Amino acid sequence: MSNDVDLLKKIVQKDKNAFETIYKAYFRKLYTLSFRYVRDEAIAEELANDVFMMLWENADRLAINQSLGAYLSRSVINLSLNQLKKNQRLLDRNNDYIKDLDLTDDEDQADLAALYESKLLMIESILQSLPPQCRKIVLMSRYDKMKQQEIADQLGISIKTVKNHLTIAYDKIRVALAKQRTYLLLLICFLFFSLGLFVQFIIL
Amino acid sequence: MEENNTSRFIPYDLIQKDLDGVISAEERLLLERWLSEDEENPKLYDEVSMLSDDLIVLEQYKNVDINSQWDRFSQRLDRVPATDEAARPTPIKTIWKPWMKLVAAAVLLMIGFACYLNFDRWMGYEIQLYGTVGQERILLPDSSVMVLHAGAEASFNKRTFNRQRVVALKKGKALFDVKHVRTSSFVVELADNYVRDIGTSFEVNLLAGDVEVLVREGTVALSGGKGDAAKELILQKNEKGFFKKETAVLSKVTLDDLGKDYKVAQKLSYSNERLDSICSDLEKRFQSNIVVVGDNLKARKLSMYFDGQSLNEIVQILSKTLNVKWKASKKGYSIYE
Repeated sequence: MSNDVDLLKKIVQKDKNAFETIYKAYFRKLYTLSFRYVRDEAIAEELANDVFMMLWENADRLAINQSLGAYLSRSVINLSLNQLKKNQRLLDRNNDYIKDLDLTDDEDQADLAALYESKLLMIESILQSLPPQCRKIVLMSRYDKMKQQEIADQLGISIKTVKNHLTIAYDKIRVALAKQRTYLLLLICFLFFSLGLFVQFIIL
Repeated sequence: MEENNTSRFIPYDLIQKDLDGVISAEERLLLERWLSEDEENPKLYDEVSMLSDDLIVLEQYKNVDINSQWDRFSQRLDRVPATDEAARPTPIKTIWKPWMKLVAAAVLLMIGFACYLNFDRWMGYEIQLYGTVGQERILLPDSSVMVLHAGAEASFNKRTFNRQRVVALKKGKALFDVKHVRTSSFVVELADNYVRDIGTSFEVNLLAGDVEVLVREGTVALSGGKGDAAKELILQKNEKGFFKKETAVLSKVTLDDLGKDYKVAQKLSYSNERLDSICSDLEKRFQSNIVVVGDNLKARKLSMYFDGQSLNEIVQILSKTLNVKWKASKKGYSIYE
């Protein structure tokens, strides 16, 4: 954060190297977050770049009350939502996700791009932990957009086996994400409990 | 938590097919049946849908070539013209100072007040009337009759007249023949006071702020001021009431007590008659003396109609009509060029 502040000061002075550092640190996250909304590579890229252009041109006039990451996340989400308003179908499809994000005031302070990135990285690590055949089936299904029958034909296995592998993969990811949420909740509870004990210790 | 998530059956393959849009009718039925089996199932469906989307986004995340992105963006950055402080547009300073707001508020208030006061005039509800030499009869909305003498000016509100029978006499002389309505009195508003009829026919004459009211029929109340608390002088038939503006004093005389100058003509009509013959007739009627100087003047012919004027007023009207001079003395009147 303090590093971001220093870099921002340099960007105000039109220091391109400082801007490159910021760009390379945040572009992937912002692009991914934007893509999550607009589902279009070109538009997501353009929106993420628009956010950086805005930062470059108006750095001296920006009033950033939260972290730079939170500010950029909020900016790219706003641009993506504006873009979505032009496409009602996508907006409808995204409504659940947007609801899930629950963009309240507290969320304004959060670096949503970083949070989403950590979720993706966790999914990636779970995929890496899957058996090779299982991982391959998931990648063929999601990345290559292949139908279950096509996967079965290409791998020379039954469609039932394909379905079983998909079930195993999805189940593992879901359970791991649920565990992460539980651990996070427990960690927050532990921190509050510790804080309570500390305060009690100070008072006594 | 783990047990809850894993113990529940989830048809991932059907959900995936549904999301990809390749689900068959038979499979859709199975999926819908599963969705309706438990209220948790639609949530699980959304969860899997979100996960499926995340897997697609993950691919995008991994495929980002940050260096080539920066190279392209850097070129775009180089095309942006450098903006220095001088080139940057200066923000427009607000021109509204506190006193200006006060003045604006006062002006708006005045405009609003003017609109309120002139609403009836601007909307065409206020009828302005001007007297002519012909003294035409003006029929008011309640069937009362008003006759304005030459130079007189009056107005009334067409919108409110049926509720409030008020005629404002601004200057000159006017005759009112009022249709009596028990529930609503007829009021002639004047600059400093008013005249209220009590079922009557009367004449109001404004003379440099002073007021003369002559009652032809019925009864009239002449007020000494404005408002409900104003003192009223009741005038009967053939009584003439006076209101002096400077002293606000009310007084009255009966027509019989008036001298010859205060006697009034009832209805006199002259059609294309010589001035000397008109004056001769007036001399008989008012038992006064009128001298017309000059043969040419005597020979001039006039068509006139008088109703309720005194001799003094008639001589004035004749002089003005002929554009000649007149003089009053103890012996009578002289009209000369």
